[in-house]
Amino acid sequence: MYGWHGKALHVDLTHRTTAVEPVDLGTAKQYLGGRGLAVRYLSDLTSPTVDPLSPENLLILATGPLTGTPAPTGNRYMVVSKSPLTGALSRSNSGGTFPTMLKQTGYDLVIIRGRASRPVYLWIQDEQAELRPAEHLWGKLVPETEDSLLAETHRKAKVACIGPAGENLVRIAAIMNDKNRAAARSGVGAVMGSKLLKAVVVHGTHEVALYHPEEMNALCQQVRSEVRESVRQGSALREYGTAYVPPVTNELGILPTRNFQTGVFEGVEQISGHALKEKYLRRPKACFGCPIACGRDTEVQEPPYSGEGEGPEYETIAALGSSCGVDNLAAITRANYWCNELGLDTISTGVTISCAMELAEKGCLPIADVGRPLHFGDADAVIELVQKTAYREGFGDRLAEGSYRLATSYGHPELSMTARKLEMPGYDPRGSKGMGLLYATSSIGASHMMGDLAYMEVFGVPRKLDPLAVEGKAAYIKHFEDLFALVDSAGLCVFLAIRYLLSQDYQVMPTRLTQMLNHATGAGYTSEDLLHVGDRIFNLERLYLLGAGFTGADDTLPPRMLAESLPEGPGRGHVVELDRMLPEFYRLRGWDENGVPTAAKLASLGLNG
Amino acid sequence: MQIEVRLFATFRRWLPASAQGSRCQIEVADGSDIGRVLSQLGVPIDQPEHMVILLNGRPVGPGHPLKPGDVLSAFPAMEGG
Repeated sequence: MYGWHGKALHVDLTHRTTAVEPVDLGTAKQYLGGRGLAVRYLSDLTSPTVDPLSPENLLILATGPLTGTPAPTGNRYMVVSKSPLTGALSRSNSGGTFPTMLKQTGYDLVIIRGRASRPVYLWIQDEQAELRPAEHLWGKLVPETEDSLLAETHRKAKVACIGPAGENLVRIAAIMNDKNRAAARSGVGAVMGSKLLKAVVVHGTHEVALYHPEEMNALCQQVRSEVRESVRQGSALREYGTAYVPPVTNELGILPTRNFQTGVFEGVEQISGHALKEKYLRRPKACFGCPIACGRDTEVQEPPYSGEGEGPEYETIAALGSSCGVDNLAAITRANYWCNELGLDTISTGVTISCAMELAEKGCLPIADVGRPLHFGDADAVIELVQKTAYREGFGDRLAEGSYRLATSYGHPELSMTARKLEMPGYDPRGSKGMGLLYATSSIGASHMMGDLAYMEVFGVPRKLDPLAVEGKAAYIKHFEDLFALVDSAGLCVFLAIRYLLSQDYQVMPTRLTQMLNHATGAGYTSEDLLHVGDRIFNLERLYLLGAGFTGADDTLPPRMLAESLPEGPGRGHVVELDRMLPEFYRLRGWDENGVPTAAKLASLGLNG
Repeated sequence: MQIEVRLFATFRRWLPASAQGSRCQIEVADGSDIGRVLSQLGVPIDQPEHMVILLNGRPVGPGHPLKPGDVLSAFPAMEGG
């Protein structure tokens, strides 16, 4: 096989066994890899009604056919599971250097089930897999865990691990790799912790065989030279990282502020990428094989926030910063370091703390429960609560449940800024309407990465759309959800794909992504074939959600987004008119009025049994 | 007439010395359109598809006229990735 290795590693932690099974080529072509193939396995091997923290749940680490190839940014992997935060799918994506090394072990994916009797880690060296004791690592922070594992395995190995948050079954815990990269969303770290699996360590030497290596190399060189030229002319992502975004979203009135009470933050200049560059940036940092280098290697030298690490990225600034009313960039950066070291999703952590702040300010949360006064803008409270969350210490035990359970436990679920119980990212959908439909319909809940129409509504790529318009957004969201399923499944970073691998005639098409996949795999896809693959993946995920008990009534947003209009900014007076977009979305998807795929739709995708 | 200009990300390099953070108040000739003002600041507008222009927070094109007190914002269309 080309592109794919054609092998899956199955690990049973309960019985301490490993087994190698072939990946069927036909299935790989139909689901591509990464997210798509992993959801196929999850659907085939477990019931969607499984308890997410039980041994029966699966934790799947999956690469795509372009992971580990010369494709620029071809270095992503996906974590797929059933989420302990949402009860829906987990789909978390990460870069760094771990994904390429995972692919070089010779496996396309690693499928983990069961629960170890004592803490273990999984060590995969080429095709040899071994479970080793990890009692000595349990309780350690992410950086020291990784350092210890490299010392006892191979100095060039790569590590994905959980921190204390995952061990303590915090529902917003991440799986960290390369110390600072996170497969963060929807609590995959807690699934790993429930299995008493501290880490997966990989080292491999298997190159990925390519179907047309010369054509592949030529196309990749062409894309790299285009990125380099763009960087030479001045690249916002290289110069500022994603932290360049707060002033932009603030200008559109959609920068989450004080738990999404408004979208305009008075402290925006202090938390911008420019401030980060002037004060704390040491150097831009790239994932393996990436010519963009949006990562931020930073250091803060201002006590009590001193530290070094990576970040913050835009989403972290929005969640731990403006959503908490905090304009202290040193504190935000330090809180980001803590999240990385403890293994927490910065988005869910920040938006859960901001939910607590609103509860407290509205008198719904007694000071005695928190153990301290809690107000928007209190940077030190954010830092303290991040740490307490990871250890479930005191009020942290409530925060560890995520904002929906927190707000509900105090009788105010409407103050939880979540869709499908997943905290909303950094685009207030009242001023970016397509994002509202995306959050409501995404298979994992409120994630921008499931079909990020902000590219068009905010950033003008590949072309501009009016963020406040509703008309036509259903078609764009359907299309973007399918495109993002492709990028996730191919093993690429969306930052590259959106700009360099898509083209636009009558609609945005995965033109060069198709060429790359064909050069790598020899599958002979057309772009239309691939959009069909994206549609198939999204519908398979829908079937999983329906099986897990979700209905069309769950395709919704917090009441604030639907009924409380933005109080200021260009979107002043706007709410998300979900009722105007959702029926059209269902129709375009081939779903009935209850959000259930029709038999004809499933048959067209080969999903009818 | 006076307007406020805000330039973000890599466009900050064209802010005049009088700017406070990413914002500046500038005096422009009556009847000026957005393209003319951006050109005067040095922002290249020959490829408007590669930039986002907002007037009072709403997306517009470079040919849009200006009136006193307007807030004009511009940034690159996700330059670099």
